[in-house]
Amino acid sequence: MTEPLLQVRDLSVLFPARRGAPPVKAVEGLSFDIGPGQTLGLVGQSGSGKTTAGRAILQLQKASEGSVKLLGQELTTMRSGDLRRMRRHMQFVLQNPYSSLHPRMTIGQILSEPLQVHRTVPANRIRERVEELLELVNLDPAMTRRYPHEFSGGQRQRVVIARALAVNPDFVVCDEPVSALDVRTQAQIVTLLQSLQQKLGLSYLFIAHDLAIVREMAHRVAVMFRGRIVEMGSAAQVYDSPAHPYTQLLLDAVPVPDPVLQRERLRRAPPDLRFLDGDGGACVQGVDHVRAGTSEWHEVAPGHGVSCRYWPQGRSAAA
Amino acid sequence: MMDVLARMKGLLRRLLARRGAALGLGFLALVALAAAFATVLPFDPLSQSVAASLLPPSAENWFGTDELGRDILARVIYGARTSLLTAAGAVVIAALVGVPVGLAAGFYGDWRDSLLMRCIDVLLALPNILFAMALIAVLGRSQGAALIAVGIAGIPGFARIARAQVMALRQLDFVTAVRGFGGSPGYIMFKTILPNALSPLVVQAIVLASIAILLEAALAFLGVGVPPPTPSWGEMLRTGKSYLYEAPTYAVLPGIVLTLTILSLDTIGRALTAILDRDETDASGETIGGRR
Amino acid sequence: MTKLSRRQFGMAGLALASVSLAGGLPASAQQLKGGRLRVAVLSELANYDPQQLSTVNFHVIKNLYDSLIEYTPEGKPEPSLATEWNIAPDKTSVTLKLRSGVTFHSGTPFKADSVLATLQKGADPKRGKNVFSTMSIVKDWSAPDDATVTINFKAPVPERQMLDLLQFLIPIDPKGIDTVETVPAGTGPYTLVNRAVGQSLTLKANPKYWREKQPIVQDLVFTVFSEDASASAALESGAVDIVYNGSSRSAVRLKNAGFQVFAGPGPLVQVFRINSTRGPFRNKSFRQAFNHLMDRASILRVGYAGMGKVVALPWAPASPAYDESYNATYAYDLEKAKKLIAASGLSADEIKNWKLLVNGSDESSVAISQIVQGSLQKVGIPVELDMRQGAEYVTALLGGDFAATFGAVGNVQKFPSRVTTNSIYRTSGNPILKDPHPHPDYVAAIAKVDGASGGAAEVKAAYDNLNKVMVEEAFGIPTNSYDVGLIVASDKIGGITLDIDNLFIARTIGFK
Repeated sequence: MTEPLLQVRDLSVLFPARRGAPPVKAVEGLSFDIGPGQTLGLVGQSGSGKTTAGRAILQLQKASEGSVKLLGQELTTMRSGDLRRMRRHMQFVLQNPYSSLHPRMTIGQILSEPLQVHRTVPANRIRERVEELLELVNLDPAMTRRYPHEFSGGQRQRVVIARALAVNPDFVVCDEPVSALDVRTQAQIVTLLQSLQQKLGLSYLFIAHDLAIVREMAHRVAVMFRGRIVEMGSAAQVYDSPAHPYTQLLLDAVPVPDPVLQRERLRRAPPDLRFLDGDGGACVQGVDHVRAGTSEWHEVAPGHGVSCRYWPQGRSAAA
Repeated sequence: MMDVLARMKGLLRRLLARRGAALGLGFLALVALAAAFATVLPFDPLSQSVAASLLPPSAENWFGTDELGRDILARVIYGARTSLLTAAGAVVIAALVGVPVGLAAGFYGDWRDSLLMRCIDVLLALPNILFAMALIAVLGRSQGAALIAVGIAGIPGFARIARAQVMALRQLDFVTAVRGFGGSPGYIMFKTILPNALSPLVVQAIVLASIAILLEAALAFLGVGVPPPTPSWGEMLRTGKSYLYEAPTYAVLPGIVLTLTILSLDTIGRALTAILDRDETDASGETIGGRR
Repeated sequence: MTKLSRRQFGMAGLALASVSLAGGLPASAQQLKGGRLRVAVLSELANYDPQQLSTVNFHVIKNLYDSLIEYTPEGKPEPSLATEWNIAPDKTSVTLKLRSGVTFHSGTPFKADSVLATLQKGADPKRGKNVFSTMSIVKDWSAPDDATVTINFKAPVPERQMLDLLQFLIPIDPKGIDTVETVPAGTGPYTLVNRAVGQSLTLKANPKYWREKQPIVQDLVFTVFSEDASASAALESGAVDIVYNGSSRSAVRLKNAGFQVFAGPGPLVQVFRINSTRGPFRNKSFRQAFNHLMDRASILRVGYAGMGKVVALPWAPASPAYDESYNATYAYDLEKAKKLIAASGLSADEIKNWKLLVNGSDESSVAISQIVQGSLQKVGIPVELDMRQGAEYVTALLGGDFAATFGAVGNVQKFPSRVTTNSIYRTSGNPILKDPHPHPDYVAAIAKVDGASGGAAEVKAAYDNLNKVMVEEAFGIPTNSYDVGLIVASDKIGGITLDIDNLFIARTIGFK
């Protein structure tokens, strides 16, 4: 395998204690790689730490531990000036296209901002580049003088994507990029993201709670629960043979349009929910991996791993 | 910025829709126009005619004459220049210092916030008028001294509002987006946050302008304002009060103009606040400040 | 009038005197009834030391103390605590007979020892205060017995100068002389009851007072007002019976409203003081232009409601050196002023290179300074006003730290050389003009007046010479005389006595 574009190791984010409440570990021990032109899908319920993880990778949220390397450069310890320059290689697309565009700026101003900040194109070519970007996301270049509120959610999300692409990034974090849109628009945006990946060789960290869309987008999928990755593998591995009960639970929750499949699923035993009882520090086998210094990670197939954490009692991890 | 201009135009239109604010704006516009074109109007605030002193209002001298036989209307008009210039200067000073301080304090939110806001608290704790008098004692009596004194007194107001705005705005997605593509703190504060925090700052500027006019008048009334013969409303009140028996209109008419000016500014300020509050309510869930 | 100049006036050594008529009260006053007299004043007194006389305590001194002799309003000397004064033929000494049967408020009998103690204090550079400079002519003193005091002079002294000194000397109780600033120690018609600093001062009649049937009113209450207008309003509403030392303008208005107005014989003269050691003012011709730049009629009208007289010399009409003809010769005339300015040879930049210092605390000064500013503008001299408040102005004025300013002078109705008690007219140690005096002609003219002990013609010639030199040197440009210590009284009040220095005398006042 070639050198990964992004390498995340043991990334943790700790929110400090506040008003008597204990500190919260939002993200704990996150490790994964993303290769050039690849998409890693990050799934999990809301509150599982997906968004925090994305922000921590982009250094918008301070990580308490761990390392993030982009293009071989360590980001967590980078000086703020260097980091700002580094940001042209990594961009993000936020969930809400309504709030992530400056309400008082025209589309043209919004798209030229990153160009001006990074001075990637000379001032007299900015206009040209803005129009180019609009075309890239299938928008009419004539709309540069209009304001975000004049557009639909899908159009705005295209603008957000265009802005992310303005500086020719290598890596884009898409944080629930379609969840605020209607289904038809979702499909269009997903198609757009895919075509952009092919055209520009982008790598994505695709954060979503919608498993169907992740399956469509991602080469590999990581499942997050309570700040940890409990299962990670290729999209096919995770979706077709989920190893962790939480993954199964997630997949079961997705309505299946095929009535046969749906019926078959209903015949299966309901997933064991006891793992929700909490994190006692020990894994299903009663081993405290942190104290023992052993890995809780178990490779069930090449490239398909699962954590023995959050495993209901009485079920074997190796099952 | 074109956009800011357009927004101000929109605000103006909505202000004019409110009767109180429209009256206030009208009066202010009258005062400002008179002050701006004072030199081309056929009024001389300095020409003395002791033989015609302390005359009551007449066709020739609409506001009467003062103790040196000078036309009081002319002095009110030229006094408006003093008042408005002091107000404008003070607002500029207060905003130039207060806004960046407030932005930085709110943006960083760490020890820099504590340090800056403690300094602001110290300023806030100083009684305006005493501080102004102390400053004038050091700098001497002049328009500049009054202006700086009032300006410094206005810094805390701007700083606090700017800080509150940053705190409210800095977590919003579009601000995060700018951070995400590598905008520097300065860029984020002034280009991203400030344009969205402008409305409450405009209200604050209006409030400060009215305080500045009042404070300037108070200083002149206490005899430490702009030195004579430069006309100033406060100075006219100060001198006029000695002639309340002989020429009651001497102090009363400038007093009315001063009162109406302050009242106008306050009405406008209050109307703006109401408009902006409604915007915020309407726009909640979308963006602060609203569109439309 | 400026507050400062009032103080100066006092510091200059204003003689204390009163017009208690030797024969007792005028017939009409006999019917006056006693009671409680309420007086509005506009200043808070500094302390009770009669040797620190200044306008702030003008309202109390003559009610707590008596002088050795008094002057009538016309300037005639009269006995007070001294019943007789015998001037030696060589004019180098004076012998006083002291009144018997007088006691201080403490009960101590008034005897020669108290006069000696008072002279001792006055001659002490630290304790003598305003009396000290006046004591410079005194060589020594002695008391042959309890009722006699002899004062010896260093050289022959004009009689009038001697009398001025006696009128200025106020015997202090020797027992209380060290605490006199806080506890009054006099023989006066009233004793202190209490003082609320900044608010009021209450006195009551001295039952053992030596003047028969005086004082008339038993209780005397001074209320301190910070505003002239509020004092007037208090009088009109009947809250006070008398306003003392209010503005001329209020007096004019109240007079028209039916109140009684009394102006004392001791006016001040407003003087445009020029620092001839500075900038364009070193040029004599330029200074002389100011003789014609003063719109005196307007100044009198605006600053002092027309109460007073325009003057071109620092004399009140009662002064022996008063010369009416100067008012016409040096009248307001911008053309003459322009010619003198042109004759000075100064450039347009040079002549405007100064500021006019103004006492911002004093309304009249602000108004009349603006009049002069207007006149200067007309002859091409645009100058700024340098407004200073209170103590800041006093410091600049006394330190001579100004180019030009208005400041009133006192002692303008007395022996002409007494004008030198005012800082701008001082002949040596002048704080503004410094030493050596830049106007030797003036110094010589004053010396000539002091030395003119011969006939009337010699005296007249000395006065004429002084007047001529004053307008020629033009470092002080008088504009007008005006009244100080004006008394405005309700119509129920009678028996007002005027003091030569316009101090307030309550003992003859009663209710009709």
